[in-house]
Amino acid sequence: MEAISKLGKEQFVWLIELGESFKNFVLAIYCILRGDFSKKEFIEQASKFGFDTLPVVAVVTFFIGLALTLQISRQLMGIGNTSSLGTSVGISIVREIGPVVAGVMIAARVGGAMAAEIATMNVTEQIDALKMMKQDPIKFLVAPRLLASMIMTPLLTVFAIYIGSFGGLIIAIIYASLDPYMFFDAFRTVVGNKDIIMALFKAFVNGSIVATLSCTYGLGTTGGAEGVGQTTTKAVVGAMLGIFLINFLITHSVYSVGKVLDPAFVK
Amino acid sequence: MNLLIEVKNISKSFDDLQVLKNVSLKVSPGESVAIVGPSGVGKSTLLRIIAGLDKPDSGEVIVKTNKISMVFQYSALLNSYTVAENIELALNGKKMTHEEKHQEIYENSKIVGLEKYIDYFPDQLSGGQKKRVSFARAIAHKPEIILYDEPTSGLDPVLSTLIEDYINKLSHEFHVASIVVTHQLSTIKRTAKHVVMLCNCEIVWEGTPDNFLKSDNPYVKQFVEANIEGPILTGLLE
Repeated sequence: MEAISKLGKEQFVWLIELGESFKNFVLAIYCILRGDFSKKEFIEQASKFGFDTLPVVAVVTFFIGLALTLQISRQLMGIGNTSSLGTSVGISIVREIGPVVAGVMIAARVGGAMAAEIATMNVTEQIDALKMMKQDPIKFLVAPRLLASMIMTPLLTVFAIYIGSFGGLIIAIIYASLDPYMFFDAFRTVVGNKDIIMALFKAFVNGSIVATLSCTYGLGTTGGAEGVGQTTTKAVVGAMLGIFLINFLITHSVYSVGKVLDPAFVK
Repeated sequence: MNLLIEVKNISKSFDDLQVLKNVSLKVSPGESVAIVGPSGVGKSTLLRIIAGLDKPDSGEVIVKTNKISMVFQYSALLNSYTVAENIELALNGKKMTHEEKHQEIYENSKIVGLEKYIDYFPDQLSGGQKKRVSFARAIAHKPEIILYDEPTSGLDPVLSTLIEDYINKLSHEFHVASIVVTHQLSTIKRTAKHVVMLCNCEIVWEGTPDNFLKSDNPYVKQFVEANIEGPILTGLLE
């Protein structure tokens, strides 16, 4: 009976962690709105985001742009319709690939580092030291990281969209022999402000997920070096799952609402 | 009797493992208490409960001041902050001008002889220097109680003596009550006025350092003489 009870508890640990994450998110947002957080930590974290993630986001989205455009152009060349290459690439990169790839890269690169840093601080009693100095870990650690993530993820997503589209353009010119003007003309006809707003909204949510989960797992770490390793893995996997799930839910919601408000949007 | 800390019958378990059972302790202002005992008997847990970092399962802890600091076993300095910034963290709640803060940081680092290192990062300091920075940080907000978790662990005998001198200096000059968790006899002899020995989740002996060293209590005798034979190891293995 005890074993079953223990198993039951373990099965629902994720629910407790989800609740804890939500609590930390709400508390951190409250601190951000009041301006009551460590500005030094915010500046450090924001610069880490750019410095750590920009190169990897650039490389990954560039190659995804190349591969994606190659695949699409092969199909379109088969039916003799390469002129709509910019349309397909534009929708894919702006609406899905840009936000998701930037989010995943941030989860892997920054989220992992963030979780490991806070977990190490936890197991080496640095967070206890902060508490003894009447420093709230939410104000001092979570709020600055959350704000940095919410600001920097959309910026990196815009960057990812540009680089991915540039990769697509190269393939369109070299492989599909398409005029750059035609590629961007088709791109512009389907990608509007609504798409950019949707991409930025997704990026904003992705950034929130990465920072909140990383900080929550980090603050809950026990068990020394092994615990730090487990926390890092859990934070990265959790953030990636969250990003994919939320990405689908936002896309689905936007299409459902868009269908009612503006039938042209879903085309 | 004027008490600063009163621990009443506290018990604490981690899952199925009981670490403290009905432990009581009283500390007066300016008093130095050493909590001793073999590794893993709950000394640090007791200290963390007094600090408010952990909660007991039962019992009560009354601390009659909020001016309480702690020196952690591995210093617990924030690695991305300089010595000055680490000390400044303890001053953040105080209404002070930038100059006053800077002066306070300088004064505190001078007490521990590290005024030339205030722009260094913890990674650039030795273990003993880190420990001294954590002392400077602990005294920055003028505490009435300082809790020390194994302050001399991992240090050579000379540095240990230096750290013990700082503990005495803070106790005598600033009239700070201190609770020192240790298993080093030199620290007990040099810093404590009252010794409490924990073993098998309970307090098995308490008294003065002189009596501690001469005691016939089997736990104390085994601990002082560092014998393998005796109740300490039997209790730990059980």
